Amino acid sequence: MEPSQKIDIKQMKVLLIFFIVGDLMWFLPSFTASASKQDAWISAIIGVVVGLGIASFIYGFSTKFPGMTLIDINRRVLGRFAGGVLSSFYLLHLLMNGSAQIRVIGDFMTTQMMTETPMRVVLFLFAAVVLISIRTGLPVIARTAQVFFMMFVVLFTILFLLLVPESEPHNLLPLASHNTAEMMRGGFFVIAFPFCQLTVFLMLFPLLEKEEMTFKSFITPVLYGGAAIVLVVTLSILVLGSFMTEHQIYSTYVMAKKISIGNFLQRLEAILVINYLLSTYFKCVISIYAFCRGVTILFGLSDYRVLALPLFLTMFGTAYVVSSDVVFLNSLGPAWALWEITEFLALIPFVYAMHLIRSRISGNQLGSS
Amino acid sequence: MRFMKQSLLLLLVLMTIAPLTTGCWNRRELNELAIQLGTSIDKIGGQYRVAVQVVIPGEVSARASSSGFSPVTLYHATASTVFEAFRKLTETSSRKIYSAHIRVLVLGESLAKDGISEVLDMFSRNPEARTDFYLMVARNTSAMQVLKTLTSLEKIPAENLFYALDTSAKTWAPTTTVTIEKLIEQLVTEGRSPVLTGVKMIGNTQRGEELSNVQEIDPAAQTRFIGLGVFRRDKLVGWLNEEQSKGYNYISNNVKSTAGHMKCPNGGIIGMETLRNYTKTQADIVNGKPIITLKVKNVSSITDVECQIDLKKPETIAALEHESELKIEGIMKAAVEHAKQTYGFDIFGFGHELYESHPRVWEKEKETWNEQFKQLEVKYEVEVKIHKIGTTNDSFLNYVKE
Repeated sequence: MEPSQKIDIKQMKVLLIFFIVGDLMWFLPSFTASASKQDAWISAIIGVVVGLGIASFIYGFSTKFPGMTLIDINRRVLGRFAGGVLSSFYLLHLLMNGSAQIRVIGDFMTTQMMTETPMRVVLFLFAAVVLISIRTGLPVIARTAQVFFMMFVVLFTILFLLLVPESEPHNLLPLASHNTAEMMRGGFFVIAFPFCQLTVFLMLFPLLEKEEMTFKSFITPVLYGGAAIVLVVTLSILVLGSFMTEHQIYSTYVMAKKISIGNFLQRLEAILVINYLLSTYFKCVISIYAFCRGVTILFGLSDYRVLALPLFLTMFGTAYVVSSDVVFLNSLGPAWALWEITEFLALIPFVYAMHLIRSRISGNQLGSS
Repeated sequence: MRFMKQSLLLLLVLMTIAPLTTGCWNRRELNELAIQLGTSIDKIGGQYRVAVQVVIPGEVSARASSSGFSPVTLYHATASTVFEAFRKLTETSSRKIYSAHIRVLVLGESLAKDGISEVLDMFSRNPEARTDFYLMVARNTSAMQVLKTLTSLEKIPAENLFYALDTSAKTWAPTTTVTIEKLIEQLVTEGRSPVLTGVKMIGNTQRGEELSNVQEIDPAAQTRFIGLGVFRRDKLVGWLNEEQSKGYNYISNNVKSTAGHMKCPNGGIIGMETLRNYTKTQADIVNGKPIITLKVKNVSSITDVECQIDLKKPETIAALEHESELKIEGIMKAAVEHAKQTYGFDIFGFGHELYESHPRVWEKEKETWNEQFKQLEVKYEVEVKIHKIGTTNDSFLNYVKE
């Protein structure tokens, strides 16, 4: 039997923040700036506001089905077969997402830091770390997150404070010169990437120890994560300007390179990269862990850990073949965002609507609402 | 037995980890690197000649006594792309060039006239190089020649160029520093054009390469920064002289501190030091026409009096402030007029200011902006404050007796 996988609310909060910040530091500034240039920060705010709505909806959805994972919910509402098919699509999506995180790390490392290292080496090492984490179980992952969270906050604050002197308020001008459509297009990425992906937490909520997660304890970390996104996008525009933000593949890294306090406190980018790596790692681990749980439930396995090793090889392979090169991966952005939104729409509002219809037909016998 | 099993397992784990912890894949030791500090690029017959100034560690180390050789060496190679030329350097260099510590990039004048964008892409794409080096254009000489001059206060000539420009930009109005990011930003921004400081050789150029150059008190050959090069798109179109460069830097808010002089009311001149300067460019629409207002706030002090003037009277200070305001206005005006007449396009980035404050007007005007620039109305609002006059009040000049 697998060991207990229960975690407490505090740990869930930390995981939520890590998940939302996730891999966004790598590419979100450049995605939003490509749509609305110097108004990218407004896009980010729009995205976060809409995103908070989506997050609340996901939370509301979860309270209708206490103690159930998304897979259970799908099967209960749609029946064993249809629910299983929908769940399979969702699980595939989780696997792709997790692998893409690994690929992002691989691309970054071989672009900026170790240019002559074969990417497969980076992917292999990162996937191996993910494998170990998955095998140790969610409580260990959550405790790791707690340990690193302090460091994450400190490094993030350092990044923010040290970049304030480098910022150029002129870069924001002219204010709000883009029309609503362009701003929404920038916000669209913010909505898709962290917020629609929050459905993965529907796989984790049943693993909470004792108490249920209240709305406040769910939305607070989501809000912090959203604030971090807005901050990073705004800083990137302020420090690099809209052109650089849009055209640097890793604008946050280039931004960290700019730090220079009195000509001695500089070249901190390698340290600050730890931050980006950490949040990406946790996002990857959460996605892959949710995938494992999903498969376990879907196929009625007794211990998810048997999946770890084959999964490791799958991730390593998928991360390598998911894109032929860095250009293709980045050009996938809009399509990937649409995929996230479709997954969200198909899972939450659709399943919820089905649930409402079915419970009305069968006289409220199904759901607990 | 259990202990045995555990230790065996531990051993196995350690053996597995060992190959993974060998450090970077492509590690490079310090003694395998040629640290590049200065770079120059010339265009010769459609090809790029890249020269790099590489430091010789033994010669600049504080502990080891110098053996009397040059502290740096120069490698150069010519190829169709800059990166190829860099690699081709290994034909002469024993080590691979390590570009992370680059301080200056000197561009040849002919290259600058043909366009610099193609060369710059490599520097912004290459992950190794830092982007905080300064760019400059060699004037009346090849870029490579600039790197060939030995200097004494800074042992490494590239460091000398870097710090000379850095100090000069901070304390002397006609020069300014440009990093590659700033340059690219200016190149891609509508309504903006870049400038680069020019560097030229003075004295006996050939002697500069010899070690005897640094054995003299007054070196036979030196490098000197002179004037700003004006670019249209990415092509060098002309040079500003010292006064015009001053004006450009005042307008672009590049002046931090500088020295100047002005006429006294009764003849003679009086020297001034600018302690702080801030210029704000404002674009307004008046009667449907764009008007640029340059608001200068300047704090100066008097450094030397070379005329008959009574510095004990408050009215004198007010008069000097006014005189100084006129002087700065005159410098800026001359630069603007020169740009209007000689270049006929907006070298100051006024168009960008208009875009920042009136984006919709700019959309309409941008096609004809350079034509409009020739008739553009520019207003000057200069405010000079003189708070200090040095340690003496009235100059002894007023009391010199036979």
